[in-house]
Amino acid sequence: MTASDAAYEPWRPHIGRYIVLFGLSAIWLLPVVLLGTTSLKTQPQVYDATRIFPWPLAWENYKLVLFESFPFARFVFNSVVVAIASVAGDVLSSAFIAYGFAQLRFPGRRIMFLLMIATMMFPFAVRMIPLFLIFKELDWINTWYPLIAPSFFGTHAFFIFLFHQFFLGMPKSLMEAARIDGANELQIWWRIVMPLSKPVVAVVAVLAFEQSWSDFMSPLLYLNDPKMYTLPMGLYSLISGDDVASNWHLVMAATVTMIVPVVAVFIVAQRFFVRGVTASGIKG
Amino acid sequence: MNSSTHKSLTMTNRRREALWGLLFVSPWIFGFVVFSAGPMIASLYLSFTEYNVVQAPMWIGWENYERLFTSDRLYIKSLWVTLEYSMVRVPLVIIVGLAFAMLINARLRFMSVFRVSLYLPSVVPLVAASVLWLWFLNPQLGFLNPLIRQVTGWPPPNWLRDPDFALYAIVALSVWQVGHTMMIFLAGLQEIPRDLYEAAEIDGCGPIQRMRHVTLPMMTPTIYFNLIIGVIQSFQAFAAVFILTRGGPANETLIYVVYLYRRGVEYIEMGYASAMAAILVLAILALTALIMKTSDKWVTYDRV
Repeated sequence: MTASDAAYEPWRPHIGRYIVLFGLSAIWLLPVVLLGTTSLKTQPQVYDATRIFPWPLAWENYKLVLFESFPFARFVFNSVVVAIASVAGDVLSSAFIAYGFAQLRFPGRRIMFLLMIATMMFPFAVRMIPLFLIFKELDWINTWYPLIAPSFFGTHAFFIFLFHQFFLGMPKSLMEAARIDGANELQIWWRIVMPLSKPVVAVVAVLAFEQSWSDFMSPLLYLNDPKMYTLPMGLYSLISGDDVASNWHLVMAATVTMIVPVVAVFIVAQRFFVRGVTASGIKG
Repeated sequence: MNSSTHKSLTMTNRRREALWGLLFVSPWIFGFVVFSAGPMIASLYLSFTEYNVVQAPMWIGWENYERLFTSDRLYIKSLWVTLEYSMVRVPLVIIVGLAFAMLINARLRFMSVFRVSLYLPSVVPLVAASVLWLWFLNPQLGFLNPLIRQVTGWPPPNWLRDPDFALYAIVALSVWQVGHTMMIFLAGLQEIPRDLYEAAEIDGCGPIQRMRHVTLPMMTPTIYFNLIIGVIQSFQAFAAVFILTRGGPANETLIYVVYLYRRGVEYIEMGYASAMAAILVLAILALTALIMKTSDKWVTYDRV
């Protein structure tokens, strides 16, 4: 028994709470379990809808979805490339911009900071049409640039805000000392501030990954060549086709393919992920 | 060192700092102009034009706005649908989220297992969750309806194709993904000082009175926060509706942004859709202001 175990209250008076929580957790997890088991059904078993556990397990569904009937391996690859680039852009640009707002004085700083926070209020739908026209003008339709480029210019104000709050809490003496030693601001940011900011980098990276991985509206607007589709578009094209009806086992296998990486990141990064989301209150 | 050289030294230091500062925020300035402010101003301009991309935008004054409110019955419908969706979804998510948070907020064994189980669905990306929902509610091959048929023998409705149920079936998906809201409430609950409960207990308050007079007042700032976020999110809802119903059946789920997308992208009426976008911004700002204005009547700010 460890020290933290000793802090638990006795469970007996709380038996009612346990029963309610057990029931709710079972209901809430049921769709996830069914998603997994349905993805392992053979086609005839799909018609046996209430049979929860199929046997034998049709692992070949994943082979069909990823490589043979549908090119999901390609969509996974596309999503990974787009996500890596967006995460890099979001982390670098947000940290860079936040350092300016948090540690340096310059004219217009306050008003710019307010404008930045204000951009969080405005729905994407307001910018959607002109943005589409800009990217069309740039000949970026059917490329990944519209999904990646904005990340490099601090368009996700919330990430800047997270870095900003963290940088405000850093001891000024650290940067002063480096300045006296002749380091310029760029060196201070990259060599001193960034290595000390790993917890925020992790939170922003996880949130930016989740955001990029889940983004549906931008690829819907900018991608129409299936070769370029990211996973959300791949999944959408699957269910908007005619052959969904009898192929739910494959659709579910494709859905699992999209969810597994997010859940894996969630499990690995759980501690700061939950903390970061809670502190922020806003979903990526 | 005399005082004038000292002064000019601080001046150059200050100027140097300002230049560095502007350098650091310059990516944001560029991004703000190109990806936020510019498009928003352009959208406002387009809302006064007729624009189908092929021909240059043609200035038509307030015509788009007039059309929206006088001759577009689908638009009025979409306003009502969005309002109904928000009025059902936001309170439901807040009540369920707070109730879940209260249930798992105890120093008991296995609470972290329940917390992860209830949180997990909210990690599922919305598009994937919507596709899962589409299968789950499928009348023949899904899970829910065959189960209801087997257990009760009654034929359940085709939830997503039934005008009476479709919007609620979409709301149900939000309730399933309540985990995120639950975590915000849990953080709020854990900040309530324990001595408040002890004091209430000494004063003879039972569990219901403690909830009524301690927990709920102390949670009002968190409820307020979730209310604002919830309303903003509901007015921007798109992906789930687009995948589950595309606005049907009989336009009963024609939520604002789905209709905006239909006009702007499918019918290529970009000026008209821009007018819709402008009104969406106004609606969100007005609702947020309204909630903020009422907040001093019910939000407790003096947390101990």
